[in-house]
Amino acid sequence: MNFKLFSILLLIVFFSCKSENEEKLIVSKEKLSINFKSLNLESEFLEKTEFLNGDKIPQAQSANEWRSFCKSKKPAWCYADLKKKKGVLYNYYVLMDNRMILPKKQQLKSHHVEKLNKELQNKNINLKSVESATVQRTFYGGNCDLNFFQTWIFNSKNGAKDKALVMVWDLKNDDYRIDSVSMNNGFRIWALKK
Amino acid sequence: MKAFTLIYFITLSFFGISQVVSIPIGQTSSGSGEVKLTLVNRYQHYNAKPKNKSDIYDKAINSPKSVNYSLDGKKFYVQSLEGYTTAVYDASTKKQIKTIKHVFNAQNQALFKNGETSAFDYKFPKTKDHYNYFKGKPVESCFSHGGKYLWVTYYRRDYDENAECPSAVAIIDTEKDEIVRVMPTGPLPKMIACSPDNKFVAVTHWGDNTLGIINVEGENPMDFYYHKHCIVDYQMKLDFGGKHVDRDSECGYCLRGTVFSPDGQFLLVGKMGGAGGVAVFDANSYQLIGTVKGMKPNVRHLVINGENLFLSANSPGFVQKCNWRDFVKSRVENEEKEVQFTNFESVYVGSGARTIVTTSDAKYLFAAVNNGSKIVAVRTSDMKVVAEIPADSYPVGMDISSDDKELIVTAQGKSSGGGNSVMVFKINFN
Repeated sequence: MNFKLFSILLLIVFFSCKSENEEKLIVSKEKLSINFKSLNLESEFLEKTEFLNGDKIPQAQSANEWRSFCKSKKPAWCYADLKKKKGVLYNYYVLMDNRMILPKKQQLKSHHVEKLNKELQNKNINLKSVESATVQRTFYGGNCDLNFFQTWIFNSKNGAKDKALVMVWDLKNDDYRIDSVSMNNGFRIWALKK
Repeated sequence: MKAFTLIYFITLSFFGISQVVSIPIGQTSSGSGEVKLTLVNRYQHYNAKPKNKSDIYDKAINSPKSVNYSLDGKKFYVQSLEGYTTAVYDASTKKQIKTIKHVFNAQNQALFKNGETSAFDYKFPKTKDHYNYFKGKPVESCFSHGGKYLWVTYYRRDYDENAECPSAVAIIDTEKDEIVRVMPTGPLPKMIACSPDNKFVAVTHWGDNTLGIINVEGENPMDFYYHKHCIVDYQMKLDFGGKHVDRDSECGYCLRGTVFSPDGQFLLVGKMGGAGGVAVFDANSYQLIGTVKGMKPNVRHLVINGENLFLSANSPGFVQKCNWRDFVKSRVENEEKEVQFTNFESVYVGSGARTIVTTSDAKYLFAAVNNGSKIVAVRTSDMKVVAEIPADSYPVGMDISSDDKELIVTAQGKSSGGGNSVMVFKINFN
């Protein structure tokens, strides 16, 4: 009887400690970092302007340039905040480029997002405090902010390059989804750290 | 005789012709009771000897198209299209303060900066000695500079039968209630909207699928200038070969409902004609992003309040609601010329759903139902009709006071009769 009670108490202590140690959510103005043991996921927004081999990614310095790069299906980046020159948005051709912007293990893919969503829903985490990454560039070249947290998702299948996906959190409604969008839009890239 | 009456009404219903009605002062609404409307005042130009003191015979009411409360709520402005007049009323005493005549001749040419007659590359098809000698038909209006200026679009200049010439917009100083400038526009401007940051006024040209964007950052109206000419897909050619055309229907996309998103980043324009939809512009560059479809056809009026976009679909008689961010997002993230957005909640209010307004908290919406000569109140949380009240035939324009206590409705009339009425309804919420 005593042994049974001791076992139950031990299990309760074990799970309490596990919960404390495994979950970590850091939400700040410029960084959204989530670390669950089940996902082993930590991340931050990419600010790189070079591919892994050192080649520079061209910067679109105007709406016309953005359209021009996209029209010729060339990778390009621009600032999310054009005045303060903060935050980097990329077109999808950056993600598709063979020179790669990120090693594969750091690429956010749809299966990560599905797991993340499940965890977030279970924990009922309010993401309204995330103020960054809501700016995007339209395919016409104008920047806009719809107050949706959005980031590119790398396509899981290398061959399927006809579909560009973004992860979306509707901050007003805590609504979450994956959307299919134009490759010529500009979004941030959320890089995983493993 | 009974048989004749029966045949008469069957004929009316067969041809979809509704009977011209005039409702008595004191008329109340029917419905669930959570919203109650009562007709408390009327300005009309059809009965010179009304029985009720609150039923005022008013010659300034001549085909009233629209109405707007001043932003401080102290006055309201009625656009009398065929009277070439804006009538100004005190909102508390209900007395007429002034009439502003939209008549231009040798005496007031200083209102046209540098004698300008046209905007962009619009030409007058016929030579005339004085293009700026005309009477303007006021149609719609909006405020800028925190309510200091009222912008009134002219459907057309009186000499321009086909509405194929440049028209104009009057800028009224609301402190003096005087026109302080008249700017040329494209053909047949109707709706007009000021951006939330008060930097731009968008004039939507019903007549040729275009908009004129005016920079209004300065305080002096004479400093305002055209920023951009926006085209929705294609600019309609106005070569009618001298024949008379019905410009109410010969208007391409018949652009009308015009609204800026609350963050000022997008401009939405309803395409009432053609294949319908709503055109979305980037309000930073004023480039057309494209059209969103999926709503009911014949989109007439657009309103954004809080997170919701409301629209009226005229002919089908529906009012629809959606999240404006999702609506715009569906557009800005897809490159196709047209995208489908179907996440609407809809309610049938009656054929001829014209102007819509919402209460300040967006809990309720009112719709002017033209064909059925009635006003319908909708609870927006579940998009259910909660009240309706008959109105003088045929209601078209509408505005609600900022305290949500009064609703003013204009009835413009048709060739079959009706109209020349401006009704003031008291609103009670239970």
